[in-house]
Amino acid sequence: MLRYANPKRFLDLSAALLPWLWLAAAGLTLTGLYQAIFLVPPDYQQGDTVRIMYVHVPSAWMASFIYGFMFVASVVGLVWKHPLADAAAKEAAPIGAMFTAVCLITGALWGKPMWGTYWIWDARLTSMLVLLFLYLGYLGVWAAIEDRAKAARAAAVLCVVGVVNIPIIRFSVEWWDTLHQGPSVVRFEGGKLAPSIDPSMLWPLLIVGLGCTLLFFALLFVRMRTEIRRRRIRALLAAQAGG
Amino acid sequence: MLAYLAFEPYGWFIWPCFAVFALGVGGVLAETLIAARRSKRLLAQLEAAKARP
Amino acid sequence: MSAFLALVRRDLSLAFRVGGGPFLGLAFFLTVTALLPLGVGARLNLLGEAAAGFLWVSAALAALLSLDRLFQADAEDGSLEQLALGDLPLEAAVLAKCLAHWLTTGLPLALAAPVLALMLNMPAGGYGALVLSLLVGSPVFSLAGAIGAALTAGLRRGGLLLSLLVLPLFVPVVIFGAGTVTAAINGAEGDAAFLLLAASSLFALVLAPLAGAAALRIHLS
Repeated sequence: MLRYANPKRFLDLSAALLPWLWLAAAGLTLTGLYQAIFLVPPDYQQGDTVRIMYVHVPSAWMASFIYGFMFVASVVGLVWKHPLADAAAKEAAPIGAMFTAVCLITGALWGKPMWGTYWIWDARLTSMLVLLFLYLGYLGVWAAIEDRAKAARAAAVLCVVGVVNIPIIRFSVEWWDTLHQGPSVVRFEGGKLAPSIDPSMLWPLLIVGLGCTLLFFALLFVRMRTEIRRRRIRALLAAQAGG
Repeated sequence: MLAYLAFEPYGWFIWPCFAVFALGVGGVLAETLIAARRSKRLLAQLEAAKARP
Repeated sequence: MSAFLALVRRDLSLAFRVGGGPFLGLAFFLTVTALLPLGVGARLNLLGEAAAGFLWVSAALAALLSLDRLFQADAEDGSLEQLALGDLPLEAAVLAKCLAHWLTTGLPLALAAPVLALMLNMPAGGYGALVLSLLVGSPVFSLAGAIGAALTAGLRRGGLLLSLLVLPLFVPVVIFGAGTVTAAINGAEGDAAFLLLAASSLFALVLAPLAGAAALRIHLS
């Protein structure tokens, strides 16, 4: 598979894909958000604040998903020393950090009407905060190490260490806050996935989630193309300085 | 319509959430596109300079 | 083994000669403890409630302060290359340096902790658990810290970045460590927290030398 992942091929493939990606991402996200604002009925407990869920939960999904994506890209980059994988991990990080921050801020704004306070130290908010620190550390390594190849490998090692630690951190935080509420979107009942919220409320959530995923890949591809150009620019500048 | 969109009494919390989401996504989008355009321009300049001996 | 011990001995004597060895860490520990009542007010019951968690947090901070020199001096004067070329596997070298670091920071803090806990009015019943939990848990500060120190070894100003990299890794230890003490104070069976703390410590003992050596090799290449 890696044979096909050379930068030239990536540039051709992404150029063909990008218009469709943008279209689908914008269409799905906007449709889902429109439904969240106009069509979703107010929750019988939470009232209209349930609409916050449609930006908060997809952001939380993306925050975790993007870190997982960076882990896979980092491992590929470490094992096969593939520059495209390094670029993918590097360019995914700012997007992930943004979604993590959005998740935290919307969580706090949701918390005020629900719990009466902007911030409570519950397990999930705290894990999310630690995830934000992991993202910031990852970005910090890229920013601090000048040699691109070294920065890529150091950042990849950090990402792998982070992924190994995330389950332990999650577990410890949940142990610390044993009063947290369980995940409420999909619940396992008798081995079958049974949505615990009404389909009319679940669909817009899934649509926004899918839209954000496609949005992530659209942003990522554009950023990776920029990164490939930057590499060529550096090479040209070095050649100029040398000759 | 406006009365519906006010989401009394929670509008004060709901709309900032959507705004934060829009700002976050919009911010990364803008940064991405600006960086892409800048790198394109610089690369074109450099390649033109290289073609011209 | 002799190379391992020689490295530990070298780092220990360096720590004593340059940084005053364990005394600097202890002085820091004492200073922070003095700041807590000055900051939150001298209400004894409030201090007593916060003591266990606070001592764990300051142990983490004390470790953090010395971590950025763990590989930095060796990276600057070239002895890191010597280490990498020597017979001792780099993983073992990382472990030796962690051991020396723990002997000069974690161990003295664990032994001094009861005195500071007394000053903070920590309820009786937690003292044994405090020392034991710090003895078992504080090696993680040196071990997980070594990963961050190795990643930032070649950097001129790695200190702040190091804290950002390392603090998320400290989260479980602080939770389980302070949890052990709190459970002991409340008279509850503190076994769960203590066993989890010991497990994190063993896990770090395995993972940190591997990750630390991998990170050092990046800077050496």
